[in-house]
Amino acid sequence: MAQGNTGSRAAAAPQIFDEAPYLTAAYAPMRKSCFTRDDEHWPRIQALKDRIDSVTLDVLEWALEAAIDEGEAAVERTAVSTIVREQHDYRASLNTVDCNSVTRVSWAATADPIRNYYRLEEIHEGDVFLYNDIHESSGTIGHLPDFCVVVPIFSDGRLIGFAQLFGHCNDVGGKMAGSWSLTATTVFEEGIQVPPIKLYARGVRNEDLWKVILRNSRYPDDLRGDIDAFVGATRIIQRRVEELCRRYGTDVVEAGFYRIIDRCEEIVRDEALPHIPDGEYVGEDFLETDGIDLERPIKLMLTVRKDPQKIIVDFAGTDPQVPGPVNWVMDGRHYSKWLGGFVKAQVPGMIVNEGMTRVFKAYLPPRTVLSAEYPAAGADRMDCMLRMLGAYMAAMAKATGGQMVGDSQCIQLYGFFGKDQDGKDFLYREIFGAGSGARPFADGTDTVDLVPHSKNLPSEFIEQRFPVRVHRVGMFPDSGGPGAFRGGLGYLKDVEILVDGHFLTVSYRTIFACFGVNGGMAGRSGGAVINPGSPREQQIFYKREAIPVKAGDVVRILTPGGGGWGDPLARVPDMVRLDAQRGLVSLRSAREDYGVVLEEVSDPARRYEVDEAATRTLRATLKAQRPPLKMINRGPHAERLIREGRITVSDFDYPAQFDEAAYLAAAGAA
Amino acid sequence: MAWRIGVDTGGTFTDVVAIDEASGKRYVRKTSSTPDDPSRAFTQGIAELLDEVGVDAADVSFISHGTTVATNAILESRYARLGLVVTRGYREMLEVGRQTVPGDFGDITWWLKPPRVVPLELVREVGGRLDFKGAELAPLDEDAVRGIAAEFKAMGIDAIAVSFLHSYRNPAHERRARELILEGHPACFVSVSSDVIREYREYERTLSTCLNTGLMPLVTSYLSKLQTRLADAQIDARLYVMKSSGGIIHASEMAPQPIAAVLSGPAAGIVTACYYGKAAGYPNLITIDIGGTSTDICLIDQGTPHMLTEGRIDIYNIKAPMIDMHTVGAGGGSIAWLSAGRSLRVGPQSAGAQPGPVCYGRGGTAPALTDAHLVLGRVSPYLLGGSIRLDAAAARRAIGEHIATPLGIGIEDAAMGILDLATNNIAQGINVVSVKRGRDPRDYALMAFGGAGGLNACLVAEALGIRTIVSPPSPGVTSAEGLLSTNVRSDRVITDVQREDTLDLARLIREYENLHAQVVADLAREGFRGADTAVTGFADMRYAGQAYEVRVPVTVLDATLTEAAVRNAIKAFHRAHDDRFGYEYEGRHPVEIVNIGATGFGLFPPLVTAQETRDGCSWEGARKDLRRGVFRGVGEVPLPIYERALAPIGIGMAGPCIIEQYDATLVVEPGWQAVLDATGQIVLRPTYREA
Repeated sequence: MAQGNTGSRAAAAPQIFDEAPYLTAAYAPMRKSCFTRDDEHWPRIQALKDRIDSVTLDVLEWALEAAIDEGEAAVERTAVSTIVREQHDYRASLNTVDCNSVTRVSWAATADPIRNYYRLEEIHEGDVFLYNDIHESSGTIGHLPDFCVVVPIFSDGRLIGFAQLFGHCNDVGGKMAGSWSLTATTVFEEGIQVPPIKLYARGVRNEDLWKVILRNSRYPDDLRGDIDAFVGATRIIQRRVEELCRRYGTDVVEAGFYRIIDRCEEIVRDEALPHIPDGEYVGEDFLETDGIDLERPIKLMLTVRKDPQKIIVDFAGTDPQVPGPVNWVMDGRHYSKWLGGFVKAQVPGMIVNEGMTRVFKAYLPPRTVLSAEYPAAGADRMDCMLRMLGAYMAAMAKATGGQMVGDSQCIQLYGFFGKDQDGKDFLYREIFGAGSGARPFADGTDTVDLVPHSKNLPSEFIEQRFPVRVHRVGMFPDSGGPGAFRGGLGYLKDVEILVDGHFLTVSYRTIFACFGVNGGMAGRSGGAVINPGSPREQQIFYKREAIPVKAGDVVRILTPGGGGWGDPLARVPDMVRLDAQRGLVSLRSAREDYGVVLEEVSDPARRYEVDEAATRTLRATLKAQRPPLKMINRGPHAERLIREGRITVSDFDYPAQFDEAAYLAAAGAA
Repeated sequence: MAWRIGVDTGGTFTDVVAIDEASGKRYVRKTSSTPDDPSRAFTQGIAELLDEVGVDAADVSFISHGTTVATNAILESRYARLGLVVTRGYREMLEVGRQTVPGDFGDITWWLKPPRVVPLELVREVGGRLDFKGAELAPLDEDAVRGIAAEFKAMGIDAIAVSFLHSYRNPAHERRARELILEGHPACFVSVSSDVIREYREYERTLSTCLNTGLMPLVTSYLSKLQTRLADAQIDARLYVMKSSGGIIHASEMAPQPIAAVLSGPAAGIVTACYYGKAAGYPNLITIDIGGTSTDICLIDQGTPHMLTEGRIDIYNIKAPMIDMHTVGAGGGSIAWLSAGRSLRVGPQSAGAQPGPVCYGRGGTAPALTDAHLVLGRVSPYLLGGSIRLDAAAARRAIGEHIATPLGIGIEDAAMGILDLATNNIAQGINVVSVKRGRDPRDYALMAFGGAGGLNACLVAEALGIRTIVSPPSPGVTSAEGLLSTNVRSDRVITDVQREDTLDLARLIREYENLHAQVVADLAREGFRGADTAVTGFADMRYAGQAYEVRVPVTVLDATLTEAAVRNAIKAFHRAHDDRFGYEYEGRHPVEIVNIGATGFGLFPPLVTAQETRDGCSWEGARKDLRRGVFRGVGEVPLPIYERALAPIGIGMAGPCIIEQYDATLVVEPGWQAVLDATGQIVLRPTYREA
């Protein structure tokens, strides 16, 4: 690692980064499985690909996207597992016969494992494949609860591609109810492993296999409902593609698949890359723990090397794989689509597919926590997914001179399980959003989830279904990272359990905080408190599998605030006043973090007014006392670990590039 | 003589239709809308039409109104400033919402949450709590409610929404709170969530209640203004308003529940479609209503549209019974653009009515769908009887500059591409209401209306394999017509989740009987009794564990349910689930009955359908122009233009040709043939026969 180059801006003549070092044994192959085509149809399809007219291509592209939409919508209406339905943790996609994704993907699975297990001539119409085996998934499925259904699509008597849909099922066995163990050290503790199999052969279900799979779930009805929904959805997609073949001709449709992939590549290179400054930028972030060793944070590190032709994301410096279940058993190809998906912001309307991986490349040294090997545990790899985004955003903050959003931690789970009043097993597990990071143009958003269309659970639903009572649902005051734009607020939710049972947390950023950007401060960490304000109060940090709770215990769930953006002492004082009136920011935070002095007034429509003179004086004093503003402010816990030498970062002293005049213009427009 | 009058207020025009009950004769009038005070165009349109036809005001027996007052108030955030009272612990309910970010992955970084209907500083909490069975855990804090009423009164807040947890099971606390608020603040508009919708999911119920409350002052004053203006015009007919459910309700009943009218106009269009579909012998229809910015799509089975219990207006999910309409962003004003400089897209951005497509010459520079139609010769350069002149050269320039040149293709090819993509968007929207619901669109006739419906109908039908297209007599005023062929409607529903294996049948029957009695009472207030009413039952069910329900009919005998009827409804649910989603679990997985409900209709005497004669008419006589048109696979050809009013009955005319009328244009593509039938509708079929 060339630490000396960290964050340097590009010189006048752009440096071209050499890809050769990544093609050596020092790095794992970017793609775990590769398939080539040499069939009789291939020359014809290649020739047709370059002749297909652009309008037909557009129609095909949108029709395929619509087919995906349609399949996903069917899952939403019928699936049973909370995480599938409310969190939208499922994705459909369409792959070519050589397993390249055609439709939009950011984390969709592919058909690679099917091709690894079955010769083409063994794949027939009516077959339905199923798998969840993370170590045999070629970097397409990262933890066992994600069951993936794949159906082959035939037209004119030949296989032209695969429709697939994976979704996160409630329980697939393993040591913990909900199959999200936080302490497993091998995949064997995490649930049933299904390598690619034919659940249906030529339309006939293998009932024996089906029984085995269902028998391995604590909630077999849920699993059956989910997988039936997935199969139904993939068949919808299959039918849509077959119809397109009838309308446009099989060759045209298949040639269209490949042209759509080329087009993504061209758009990323020609339209998205110019928005990102050339150069080399390092970003880092930390998992709090692997669940086994609470004392040791895990470092993710990446170096973005951008030149006019490509982006390379080099993960050298990332910690080795760990005993606990946070390992992400993937390959560079998957991360290319996961991180590369964010360039879409530069090109409205574009479809991100396999073409992304030709321009936006991710390379991993072998056996890191992001390129873990058998039999690594991976149930909680979501921690890596989210922190990887943090590391990437930190790098991009430097690339853009601070014009990047603050950090956020907008997916976590909390839950209760045990036996209800009737003695039946229950698992109430809910996905919580949190505060999003402040933007260079606006505050972060309060209590939102990272995944689009994700939903929390209505109290009226929770209380019907589970032995709990929800006493409060709201926001965690003062949790948003102070900044010229404030980070979004996390949740505050009080839940009383009505039976003896267990409380579980799948929570990150409980001691670390979401970092602020460009002078913004870090948000507050999340966590939980059992019986807050009582003599039996118990603070919960880290992720925890099973904390015993008694009937009548009230658990306060808190999710982290987003990182702030820009200098908090520059924040428009009336915005601080309104936050205080609404109870989102305390008077103390207004004074100490924002340097705003508020006085209470009798007008119920205002409640506070800004003491302008006192505010000016206080702000001047605070400015004189404080250290220089940082580009990346990771909050007090991380800073302490850095000072103690327990973690290292390259950007501890990297200065903010906050421009107050530009901020005031943006705040005026907001 | 007795005349029924329908008035549909749209953004540009107010359409008035009058029908003579005895003969079925119809008269149509379009007048410019008056957005500053829509009631002006309302009465002016009626007066002009009565004057033109020579009808005495005293002979008007019935007036029915489709209004956008509620919709526009939501779209433009013009509802009243209101306060909200919620259960303790739920002050931030509207802020938290469902934690949902719309759009794509990554959009969280730039998405801005729109302002809440009630800002946090106007939300108050009170003590009092029910459990999910409706049992009281803590009594309502009445003093707190009184204090809030006094505080809001002092602050000048004159509309208050009340929403308490689990009120769908037991509305007692909400009703008491309303009493207390009205005692302390009698001039206040109050609505409580259990009156707006008796269903669980507190955020959605509260949001709908807030919007409802915020609309009450505006809609109340609008309706009373209409009543006054009608009285001034010596018209003493009853005034009805169209609801989103496709039924009408007396204006005085509308005032406390304006949320029920958010899709008033489009719903009326669907009612017309049902009416004409049945008249032409096509009770199974897919309708496309293509307007300036969007296309509304609806599927009609056996003359009845599907119903939903919630829908979306702008950014809000609204809980109120409404016709299941799917809207896609493809209309005459939809803009064609290139994503990343190379991929053609149409919409969802729209040039709308202002500035409109380039050819309108009102400052639009981005090529729109209408520009493409014009370039291909599919629309006349003169619209609405010559009142609007279109600039074809400007349309060509815009398509050339923005689409054809960058793509390196010809202008006509680019224009056809725009048509293809718009067609595709609409076809995919049709798939949403058909295939996704387990219906094959090829089993349906396509009814196209709205000003632009006929321009795209054949292309849409071809894309889906639909072999029958129906064009109603006046495609441009379908909503106004629908106001005259509907019935009074009342929907009542209650959430009570029960599993079939632990079903308390007596409770379910009791609940249904209550709802039934309420519906009968609703209809009686509207003057409908006995044989003039029809009441049907329905239930929303799901498999235990699912979170979305499927609605199935429940057979009602003598105002009550039987065990057999419930069992049959459960069977119907299994079939419906299989039909829609491809599998069912009959006998293997328990069903949950989530909601039970009753729908009542107050039936008006059916309208007579006028029979057209058209003696002496011929296609030759109807021919009024010859243009050049460009069609895919055919190229540029001579394109005859016919006047619809002069077309003969029962004689086919093959495409390519165009059939024009005052408010709409119908393109008959090559390979299609048009026939006018005796009910005034044009039916299109392919001229070729597939094996």
